[in-house]
Amino acid sequence: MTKPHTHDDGAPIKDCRGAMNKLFDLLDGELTPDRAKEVRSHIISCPDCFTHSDFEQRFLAAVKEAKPQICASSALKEKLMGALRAAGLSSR
Amino acid sequence: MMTEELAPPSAAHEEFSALALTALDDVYRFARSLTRDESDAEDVVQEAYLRAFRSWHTFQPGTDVRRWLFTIARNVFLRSRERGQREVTLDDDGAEAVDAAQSKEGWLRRGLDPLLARTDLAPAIQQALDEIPETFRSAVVLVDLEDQSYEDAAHLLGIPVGTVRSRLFRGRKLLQEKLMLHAQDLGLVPTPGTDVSGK
Repeated sequence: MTKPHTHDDGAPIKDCRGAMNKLFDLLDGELTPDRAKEVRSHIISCPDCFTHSDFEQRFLAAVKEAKPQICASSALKEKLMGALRAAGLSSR
Repeated sequence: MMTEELAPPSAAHEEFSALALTALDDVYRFARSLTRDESDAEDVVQEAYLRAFRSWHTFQPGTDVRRWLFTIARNVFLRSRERGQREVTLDDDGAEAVDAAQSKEGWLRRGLDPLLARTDLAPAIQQALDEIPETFRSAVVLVDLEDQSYEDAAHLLGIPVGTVRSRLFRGRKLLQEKLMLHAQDLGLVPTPGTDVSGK
C-alpha cells in the first residue's frame, strides 16, 4: 500500500509543533524509516505529543473500521453488463 | 454451414473483464462516497465503466486498475455536477488551516476520547464523512478507506502530494468536528451553553 515518500521538507524535528506537523505522515506510513524514527523518538519522550499521537491513531483506526461494506447490486451488475455488451464487450 | 456463434472474446476484452470488472464493488463503494446516493452512484459507475471500456487500450498493464477506475469515476462524478456547482477550492491555505486546527486539538481530543472508546462508531463516521465537502471527503476516502498512498491519491485527484496532505488534514479535522457534535448529541460531552463551568 503506502510507501515512504520524499515530499517531506526534511526540516529537523526541534519541538512539538514540528513533530505534530509530521504526525499524520508518520501514522500513514509516508515517512522514510529515518524520518519516522526521528518523529517517533520525539513522541515517546513528550507526554503531550504521546497523548495526541495516541488519540489520532485511535481516530484513524476508527475511520478505517468504518469502511462501508457495500457491494454493487445484482441489478447494477446486469445493467452494466448489458451496457458494456451494447458497447461491444464480448465475453463468455 | 457457418453458424453464427458468439465471437470469442478478444484478449483485451478478456483482460477488461478479468481486471476491471472484478473491481466493480470497490468502484461502486467509491462512487457512493462521492455521490452519497445509491442511484447517482449507479449512474456514475455505469458511465465510468463504459468510458473505461472504450479507453481500455490506454490502461497500462501492471498498474493499479482500481486507481485508474477511481480516477475515471471521479471525473464522471465531477462532470455530472459541473453544471450546478463549482468545486470547493479551500485547500491552498494549508498552513493557516493547520494552525487553526491545532488550536482546537485539545478540545477535540477531550471531547472525542469517550466516543472513540465506543464500538458502534461506524455509522456516525460514515454520516460525518457524508457531511464534509467532497474536496476533503475524497482525500479521506482514498487514503483512509481505500488504502491509497499520498502519491497515488495525488495522481488520482490530479493534484500535488502537498495538496493531498492538506486536504487530508482538513478532512480529518472536519470529520472530528462532526463527530464532536455527535458526541454532544449522545451526551458524552457537554453541549455549548449547558456547561456552566465552561468559558
